Amino acid sequence: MRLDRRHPLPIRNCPPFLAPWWGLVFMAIAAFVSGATPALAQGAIYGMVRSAATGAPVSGATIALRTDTAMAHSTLTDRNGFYQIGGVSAGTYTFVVQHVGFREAQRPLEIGPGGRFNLDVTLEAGAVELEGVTVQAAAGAAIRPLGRQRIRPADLRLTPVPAGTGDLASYLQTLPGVTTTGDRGGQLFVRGGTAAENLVLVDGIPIYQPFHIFGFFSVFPEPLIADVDFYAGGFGARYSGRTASVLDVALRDGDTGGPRGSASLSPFLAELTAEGPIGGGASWLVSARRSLIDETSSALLGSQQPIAFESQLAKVTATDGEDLRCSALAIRTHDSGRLDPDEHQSQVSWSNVVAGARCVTTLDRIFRLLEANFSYSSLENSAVSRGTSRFRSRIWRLQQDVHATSMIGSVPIYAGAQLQAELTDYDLRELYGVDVGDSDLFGVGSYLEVSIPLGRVEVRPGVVAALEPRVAIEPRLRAAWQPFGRGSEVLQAGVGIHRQDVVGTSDLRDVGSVFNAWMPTPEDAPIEVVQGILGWQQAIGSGLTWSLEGYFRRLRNLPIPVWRAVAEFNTQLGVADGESRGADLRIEYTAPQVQLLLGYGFARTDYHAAQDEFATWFNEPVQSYQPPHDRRHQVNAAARGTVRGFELSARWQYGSGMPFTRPLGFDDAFNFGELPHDVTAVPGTTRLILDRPFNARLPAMHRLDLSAGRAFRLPIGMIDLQAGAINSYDQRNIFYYDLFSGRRVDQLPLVPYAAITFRTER
Amino acid sequence: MRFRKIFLLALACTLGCDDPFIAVEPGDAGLSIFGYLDASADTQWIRVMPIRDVILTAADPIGVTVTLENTSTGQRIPMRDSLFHFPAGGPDVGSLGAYVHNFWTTEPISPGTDYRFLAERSDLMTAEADIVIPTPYDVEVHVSQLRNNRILRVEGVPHIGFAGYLSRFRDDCGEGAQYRPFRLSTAQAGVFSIEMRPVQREPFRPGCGQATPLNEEVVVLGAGEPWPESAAGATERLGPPQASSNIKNAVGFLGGALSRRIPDEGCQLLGIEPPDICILRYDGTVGSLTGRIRDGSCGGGVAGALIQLRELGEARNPRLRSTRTDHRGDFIISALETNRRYALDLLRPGRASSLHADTILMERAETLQYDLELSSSCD
Repeated sequence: MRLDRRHPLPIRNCPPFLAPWWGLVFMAIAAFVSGATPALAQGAIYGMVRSAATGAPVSGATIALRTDTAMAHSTLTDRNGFYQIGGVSAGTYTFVVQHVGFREAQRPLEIGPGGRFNLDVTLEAGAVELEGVTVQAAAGAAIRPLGRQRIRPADLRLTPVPAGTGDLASYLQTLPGVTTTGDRGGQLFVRGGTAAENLVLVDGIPIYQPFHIFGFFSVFPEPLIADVDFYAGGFGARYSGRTASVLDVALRDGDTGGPRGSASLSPFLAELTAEGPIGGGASWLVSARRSLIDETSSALLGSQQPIAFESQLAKVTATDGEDLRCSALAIRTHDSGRLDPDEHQSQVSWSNVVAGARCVTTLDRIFRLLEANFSYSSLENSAVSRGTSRFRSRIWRLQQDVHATSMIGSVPIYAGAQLQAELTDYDLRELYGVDVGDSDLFGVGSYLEVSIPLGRVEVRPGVVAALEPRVAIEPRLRAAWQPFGRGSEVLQAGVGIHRQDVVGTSDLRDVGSVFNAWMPTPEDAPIEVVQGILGWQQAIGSGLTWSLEGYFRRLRNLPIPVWRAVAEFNTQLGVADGESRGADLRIEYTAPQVQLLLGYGFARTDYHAAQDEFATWFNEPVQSYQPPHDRRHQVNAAARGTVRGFELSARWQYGSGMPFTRPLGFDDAFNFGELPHDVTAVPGTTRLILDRPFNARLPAMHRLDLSAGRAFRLPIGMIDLQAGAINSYDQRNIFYYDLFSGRRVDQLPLVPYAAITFRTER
Repeated sequence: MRFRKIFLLALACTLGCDDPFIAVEPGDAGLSIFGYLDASADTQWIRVMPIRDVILTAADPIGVTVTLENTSTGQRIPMRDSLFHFPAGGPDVGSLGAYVHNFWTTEPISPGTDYRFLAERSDLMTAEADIVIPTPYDVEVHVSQLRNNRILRVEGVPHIGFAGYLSRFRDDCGEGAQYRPFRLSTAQAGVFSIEMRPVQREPFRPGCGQATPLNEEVVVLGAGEPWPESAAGATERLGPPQASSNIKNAVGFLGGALSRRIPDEGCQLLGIEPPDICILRYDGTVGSLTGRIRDGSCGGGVAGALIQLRELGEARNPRLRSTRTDHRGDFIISALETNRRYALDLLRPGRASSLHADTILMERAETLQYDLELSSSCD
């Protein structure tokens, strides 16, 4: 263990692009904080934790300050390996650093009044010993510090996936409050938000459509994931531009120790990964995956599933051997297919292109940690509906953002700025209509968040300040209270305003509509969500944790398609207001050989929309309804365990039925507004007449997925063999009801599978 | 033991029971009614069908009684039910075929009269609508040489349901007829001015090759009440059972109309400094000339022959009227001023020289028949 102690330096030489503005802001906050709290008179420590073997930052390491009798402070390193603890009273402590897979490091520490210490730590690989220090859980579904759920790669193995590796998409579906369209479509709805309201970042780069058309898979292969931060709501000021949730994915770096790779094959997916050192501490990492469902489904299911996807990823990481670490990332994805295998005239496809560079460095000045990202992200999205209507949408985004972590007194401060240009281009011409457009949207914004320790309470006020596309302020406030002074029992709350200027709209006639046309929000009015969360989380004994969190979201200016009374694809936009409320209960048990997760989610989302069509049809211009992704009840139970060398996992899902519009019935119509039809000469055009929007619900769905696997060591590497079944008891679950054709489309039936994965070892 | 049974029962139900899903609830969804009463038509046809829970239609009786009631006289006109079968594969039918019920009557419908439509089901549910038949109205065509356009002017009717060409044609699928609408405009000072430029330039049926026009006439459908919007998709606005349809307890549309059909014919003013606009009035004060041009040598009618009528007399700017024979050799020239003599010229298709010349006297507002058999037109 190596400890560097440096004395605090005066504020000077901060980067020129931040100095004038942020310096004043920081001074103001410092003045406020020093006047408002006694925390400034207390001490602070901060630093980096790295792996001695690779030099890579160690994310999620536990940092603790112990007195002789108790643990005084604890925190976790972030994904840059950075930590900081403020509000430390003067005294003598034992400084302890722990992380699974590393030897524990500790040393005595004397902290005087107002003292600030930079303690960088290098951990040696070693035995796992985590006794002695009780800290807040590092990760898990139930324990979510300030709303953040840290998802580890090992968690992804909790749920059976019809491939040789786990997947983020499958795991997210086990979480209460997260609703999906089923096993196809690639849509994910969080706490009443639409799929386009989720902010998904990969190494800091936004990605528009991060889930593949086959709903078990995301574009992030499990072997490449370092960790994932998931906020189902109540996220801080660092994240802006989306209103529902944040999924912040960090990919790991390539192995600097030597080349290695892996290959995986299942009836659903083929995947290759390779990585190795470049020299000078730099590394490379490449991955490619391609679906095989289109080719194998006929033999496996007895009917073809005409969907396909592929993705490629490459990442290069370099370091100067000291404080600077940079990486470059490129991802390309392509998905296409028919969600209804029997509808040969319809097709949907999309492609993501993502590229960006990121640098992180530590400084000994006012900014302890500085992170800069430059990124490009695009999505091309197209659909053919019943062979007649063709739609296309494209969106590009160029973004530059910087994030700084600092500490004034003993108050940690997080700040950043963002500059982005977002261009959209869409062609939604229908058979008779013309709807083509493009737009350029420029955004300039910044944020500031401080963490104020007030004894047993940590308060995190923050604010997002936007100059473009409009001047706006989004205040956020998060707080955590440890009523018994233990990190294992925490009451958390959060409230904030979130806005979104660009939105992906789809025909919400049913949840199976996955084509998203990206465009600025109508009438230059952003989606605005005011949300609040309140939750309790608790660790009981060893390994058992539970949490209960309630939320309320007030929704404004949600773009929705204008209602039509007959089943026709529609791209005219209207606006709805609404509210979402609900609660998530999570119980998790983790032991060395067992992991269990039980979740229940209650949710209710109401939209209120005023449209002329409603007045025409129902004599009431305002209709209130639950949108098609409003799943009222959701139960998930997942378990994983190791028995005699076999790794077993199971997941059971139950979801109450989603809303759909029950039709009045069929008739044969004539449009006398077009022509004076002769009713004796033609039968008329058969149409489906719809009743009030979303006036009924689809049947509930439930499904059991199982898998069993075992690893075998070979002279050249490891082989994992896995077998399992999706929908083990062959439940007939409806995917969606196609209002246009009046046909029921089901999710997958019982699907047995086997997978093999080979990994080389150094 | 009891808990075990309950658990097993719950498990069996969870794992084994499929939640039944019925997309469209069978039951009383009302009637679907489409059609319009046309005081100019010999027979009135109204489509009356139940809204059904399946896409297929059946030949079963629907148990509906339909009557029209003249609200002025109280006269009740029963409409008779006819079951129509459109076999699979026919135009606009699809692969399943269709059975539909059309109700009809040959009782005359009086212009300027209101009718009440009643469709009573056996369970006493009644769909009803008030139908307003417009009074007779005036139609003119203003032909402009300079602007090379023709304006249809309609006065004396509150609404227009349709205005356009009714084109008869022949293509690879056989003979057909197609409406080609003009763009309607709102009335200015009670007058509708509609440019006679059809939205669709030529008649065409998908998959049937190029169409050869046979004949064409202009149709105007004057309506007593607002007509559905002509925009695409307007069908859906035709009213659900519980909303603002013009039929109570039904979806669809019932209109009241008085249609006018006028020939597609030309007009040009001659003489010294002739005015640009030649006005053709279609009312009870004008006469018509109709007939058939036959070929004595080749047999059959002479198609495409140009018929010209030039006003004779002292008029400073006499009118030159023209039309062409259709595929049967038939022609009609209407809106002819009475008490006038006309010089008739017949020109062969594609030739400038006159085949036949004559003089016609239009004394009264009547239709004169003028048939002609040529002996030398056969090539």
